[in-house]
Amino acid sequence: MFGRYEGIKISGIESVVPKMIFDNYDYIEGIEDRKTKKQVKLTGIRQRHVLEEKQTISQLATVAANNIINNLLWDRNDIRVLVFVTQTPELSAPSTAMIIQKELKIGTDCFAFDVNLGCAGYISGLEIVGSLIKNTGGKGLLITGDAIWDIPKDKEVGKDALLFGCGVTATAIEIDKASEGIRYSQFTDGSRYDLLYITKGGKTVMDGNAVLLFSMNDVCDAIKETMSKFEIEDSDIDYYVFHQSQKMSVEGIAYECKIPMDKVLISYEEYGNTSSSSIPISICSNISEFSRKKSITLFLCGFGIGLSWNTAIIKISSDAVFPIESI
Amino acid sequence: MSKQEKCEVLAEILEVEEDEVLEDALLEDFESWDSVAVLSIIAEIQERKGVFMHADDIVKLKTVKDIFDLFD
Repeated sequence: MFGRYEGIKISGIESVVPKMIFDNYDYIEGIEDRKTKKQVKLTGIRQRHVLEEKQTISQLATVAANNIINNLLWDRNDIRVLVFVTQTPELSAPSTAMIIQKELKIGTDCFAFDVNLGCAGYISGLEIVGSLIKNTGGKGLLITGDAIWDIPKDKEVGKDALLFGCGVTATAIEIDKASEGIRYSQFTDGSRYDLLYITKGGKTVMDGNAVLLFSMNDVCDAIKETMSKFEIEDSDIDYYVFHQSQKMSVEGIAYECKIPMDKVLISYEEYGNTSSSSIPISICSNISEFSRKKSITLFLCGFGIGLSWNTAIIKISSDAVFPIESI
Repeated sequence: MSKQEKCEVLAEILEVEEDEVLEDALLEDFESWDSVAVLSIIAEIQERKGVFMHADDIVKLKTVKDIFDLFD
């Protein structure tokens, strides 16, 4: 489906990653498995940030959210909606969003909950928060991120663990009648859920070929249809930000959709696949690219577990983007 | 690209000896025909021809000969 959320704007994007780095290139130097060595080189994921033993995802989320609240001089009691998109909640219940609400000292006049979505979760989160605050008034906070530890030591996890990195982002959303809003597409296909899923034990199971073909078929179709539906030309877009699954997917999508790579923002090399955080991390990590422009129009595209995929066209002030903080 | 070169490249990708790379062999019969092998084929074509394979062309890959034809 295609649609448009009018009267809302993104007023800030913050990203926080753990300081600890797992260097994939160093790791494959010390192992024999040729398949894993090849995969690391082909996917282009040089390193990933991973949680230290005592770090939690809610700690990172609290830092990211506090940064944005302070940078935008928000009154935290104006926050009516707090959504945390995550596949790794800290407890089975309640939502980690409630733990974050406590840490942020946000008052009770707030609707806080988790959403279980993965690599397409950022755009979905924008839509959820955007549509809710249009009803509740006040301000909305979208937080994304999955907890990723130093997992390759666990042989059960397999080589695919080397694809994933940890990063948490906070996006501030406000009502602004003058805003161009968010034009979007949104798709879900539960009939293909078994191509990519996470077991109760936390193991990721993936049919890599099928997922790659999904990114080259359905995702590319959605990008082309979005451009056509909203009568968007390449010249209308400053940068494209695709989910950072790996090098071949990002480059393959750009090639298929005839998008020049110099307009495609990249973060997978340094941060890996950060799931629902990959789009905002790619924006924040490329802040030097657009800091001279007053505002930027971005074409976003998320895709992954579900299967789910989506696109969004947003216009944001370049002042709304903050550099990545490591903690 | 000579047939010998094709055999060498594909043997490396499929992690087998060159004499196992027979034109009529089914790719699905190779233990290492997986997502990493497909990524390797895509990267090889990209490097040699400067083009990215379409999803439809990847789906059509059934035999060793199908990949040899791509290398031409």
